[in-house]
Amino acid sequence: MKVLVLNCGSSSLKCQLIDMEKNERIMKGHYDRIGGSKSSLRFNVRGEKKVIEHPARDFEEAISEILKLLVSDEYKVIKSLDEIGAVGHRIVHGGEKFKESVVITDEVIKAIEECITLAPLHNPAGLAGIEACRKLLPTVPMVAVFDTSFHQTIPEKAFIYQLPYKYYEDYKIRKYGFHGISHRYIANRVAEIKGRKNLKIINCHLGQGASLCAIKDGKSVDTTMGLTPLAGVPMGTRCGDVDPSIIPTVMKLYDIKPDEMLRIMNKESGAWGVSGVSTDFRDIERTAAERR
Amino acid sequence: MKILVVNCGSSSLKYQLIDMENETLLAKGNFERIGEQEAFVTHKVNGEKYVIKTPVMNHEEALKIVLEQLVHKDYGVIKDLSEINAVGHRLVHGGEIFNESVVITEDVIKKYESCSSLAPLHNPATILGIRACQKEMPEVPMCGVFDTAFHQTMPKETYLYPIPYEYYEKYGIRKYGFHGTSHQFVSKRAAELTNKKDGDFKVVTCHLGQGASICAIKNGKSQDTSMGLSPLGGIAMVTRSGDLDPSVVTEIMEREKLTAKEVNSLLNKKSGLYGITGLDPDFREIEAASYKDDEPKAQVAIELFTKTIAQFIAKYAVSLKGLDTIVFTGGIGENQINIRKKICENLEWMGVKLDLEKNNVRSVETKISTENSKIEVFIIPTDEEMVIARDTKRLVEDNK
Repeated sequence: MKVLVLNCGSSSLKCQLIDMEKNERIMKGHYDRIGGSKSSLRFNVRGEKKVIEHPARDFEEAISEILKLLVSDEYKVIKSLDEIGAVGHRIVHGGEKFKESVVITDEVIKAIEECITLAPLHNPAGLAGIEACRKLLPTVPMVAVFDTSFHQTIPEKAFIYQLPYKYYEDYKIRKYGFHGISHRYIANRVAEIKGRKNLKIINCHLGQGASLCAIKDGKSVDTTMGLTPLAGVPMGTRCGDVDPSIIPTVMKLYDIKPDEMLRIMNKESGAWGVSGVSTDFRDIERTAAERR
Repeated sequence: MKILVVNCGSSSLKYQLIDMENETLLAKGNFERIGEQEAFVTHKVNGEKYVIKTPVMNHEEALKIVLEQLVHKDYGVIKDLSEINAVGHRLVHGGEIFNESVVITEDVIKKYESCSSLAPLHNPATILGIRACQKEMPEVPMCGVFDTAFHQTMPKETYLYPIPYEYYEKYGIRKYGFHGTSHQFVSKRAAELTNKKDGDFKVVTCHLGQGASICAIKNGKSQDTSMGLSPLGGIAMVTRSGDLDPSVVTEIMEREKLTAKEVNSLLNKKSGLYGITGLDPDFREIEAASYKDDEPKAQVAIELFTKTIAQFIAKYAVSLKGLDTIVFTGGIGENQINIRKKICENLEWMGVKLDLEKNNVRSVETKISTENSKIEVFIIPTDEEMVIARDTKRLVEDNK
């Protein structure tokens, strides 16, 4: 079976076509700046790298372009789209509804929509990807894999915030955690390497976004990210957990609104905020080494 | 030498008169609801309690009444106010200006006032106390002991927040830490009590009360502490949230249409264990409820509280690159037997072994770990007033 994996961000799309029998990545692509006139697709077929400038107004156009490419005479990645046995969608926020991956149905789509308030930038992009595939590959089954579902085993004492309980009841404000797909993969891989499952693991997923996860016997028991991916350890541009009094203090001093404060904490904080060097960790690390 | 220790809140004035010759408490009390018709002072001498109800309009009037009690014809502890040799003030936020206790001068007051933006409720109240003493006892030297000063030894990577650097440069937004006098007192005492005879002494002190903070101390110097810019940071407290995913704060502001001021008040007064449980904001009540089967929220709240403290202890063992001793102090730390047990159970893997028999005490200086525990655990009742009195004595004598 060949599976098309789609990961839709706010204005970009990552995709891979994987041959599950051979456990081989046949195609890997990254569509950038979707919605603009400068959108382009970088892709890699059997080790060969290509860049195609092709405007895509939306995810449907982008996915359509990718599908065309897969069966094109030039690349012949697959002979026919019928070879695609399934589509796997990476969905960011599954709230408390999704404790594991699911086959996508109308009901599932509705439930993902209900989680939009928890991930207002990411979930709509994932949904757009699902809608596009439904049109372009109407007979192919689709599955949603969530960033949050691995963490649904976290006990209440670790996911509840020390706030009026009604915020959890009314708005579902709690710790969800992210990078679940990565943490789960690593947990399984470590179990394979060690040859046993009764393990206590801390996995450190350190990228532009970074989170740690405590995993016991294959299950997430705690993780650093919270309601959103802003929380936990300091990151490239995100602050992570802080004394919350900082927020009203800065808001008052600079006369700014919550959405602007949130933007600052997501985009202008972390290692970038402190160093002023770069949003890229490698630059910061290099500069720190040079100035030592 | 007799020293009056004064600790002023916005509508309260706590005091102790201490005889420094043998460090004995002569009298203590608390003036509450200053500025109201219902103002009253509870004055304690030799275990006797005297409650005097009298409306006072300000801290100056309150202090006058307090001084009258000290020389009272029936239960006075000194004959004349001239016996008071010095006043020690508990001051709250010394910013980056004050890294130790100081003799109070007009210049000091001015600098301390400049830190008021960092503690807008607390600093001005303590200044009222200073001014009242200046009026009533103009000749008596005064010293200020700061809640923040002990933590000024934290390294920069610890006190800086990962937010735009400009906030630190322009407004001094950084981690300051609080309960400094308490952490200093109990860590010093732990160093005296420990079995460890040589090398570095690494201790984590847990000051657990209505406000609660944890401190990592190496060789007497604070390396890290859980409270931050304000006493809201760190572990979940009875009504305060402690550290949070910051997006939670903006999310609640948007959802509930709250202003910065309102959300700050919510996080300080309506959150923490009280927020989760909806019970009275009293730790003992919440803990008692947690042992009942029909109070699942109280169970979660207590689990969260004890686990977070254990996590901070483990985290600070990393900051210190090792750990010799854990100290419990403050109202909860000194008195709540089960809470200490729960915290230490979370740390058994680190080699913490509690002696359950020895742990079965309240507010008594005791070593409560077993002899073979890798890390010693102590209860050390805190005495912030004594730290203030000792610093005051030292500074006044040095200044002579």
